[in-house]
Amino acid sequence: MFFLFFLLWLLLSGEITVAVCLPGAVVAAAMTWFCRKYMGYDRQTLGSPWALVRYLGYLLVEMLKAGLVVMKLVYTQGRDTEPVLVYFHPSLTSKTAQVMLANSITLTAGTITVHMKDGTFGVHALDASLAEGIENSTFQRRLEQMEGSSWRK
Amino acid sequence: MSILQALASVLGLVFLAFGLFAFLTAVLGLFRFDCALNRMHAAAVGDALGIFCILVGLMFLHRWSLATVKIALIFLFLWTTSPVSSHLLAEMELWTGSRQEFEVEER
Repeated sequence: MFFLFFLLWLLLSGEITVAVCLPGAVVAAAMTWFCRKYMGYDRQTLGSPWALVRYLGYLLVEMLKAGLVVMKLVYTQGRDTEPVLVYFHPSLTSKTAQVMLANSITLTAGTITVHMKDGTFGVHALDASLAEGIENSTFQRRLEQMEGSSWRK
Repeated sequence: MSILQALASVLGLVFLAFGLFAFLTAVLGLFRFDCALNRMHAAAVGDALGIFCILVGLMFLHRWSLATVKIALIFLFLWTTSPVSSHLLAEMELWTGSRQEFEVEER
């Protein structure tokens, strides 16, 4: 956490000198303390970093593909789409994995998570074809695998 | 100017143009769909595809510099914040709006 803040500081200032690094270290330490104490930051991560990077890459590809599909819908269907709202119960247990699944669903264009409480997801899809297999998506399977191999930094 | 630099510039411009086209589609979609939730899907196209393509295009135009890393940071922050805000908006719409426009399924 401290190193992430420090790296952000260095990136934003753009040079590495003592005059930049010293205030940066102080600010990064203060931010780390603040996040630990008040924002409820905890060290638990989901899966290994490599799995996380692979997941994000997969999410990026899915995002672009879904964007193209919705662009096609805009031009070909217009008002004739059949929007559906699907409620389902994913089998993810940890809060982190659930939030990541909800964010992934929202990030892929054409599907928005409208409801997420007590393990129940409500997903609104622009067209019925986009909601097919939403209750057992590849996102979910990947997150389940990562959940199985959680570790502490 | 070497051939690689020219290639990077062309690639950057292509990405920029496609990003603009994605935003054009998003705006068009805002007018073509009817209820609020459907319109949010159109806006999500601009959010995901449009911003991604424009930022990648800018990265190619800047080549390897500090600005490139900063653009990647912008993308990272937008990536984490935009689904949260659209989720909250959609949830509010579901509470307050009418439920006539779509079918509800339980799976």
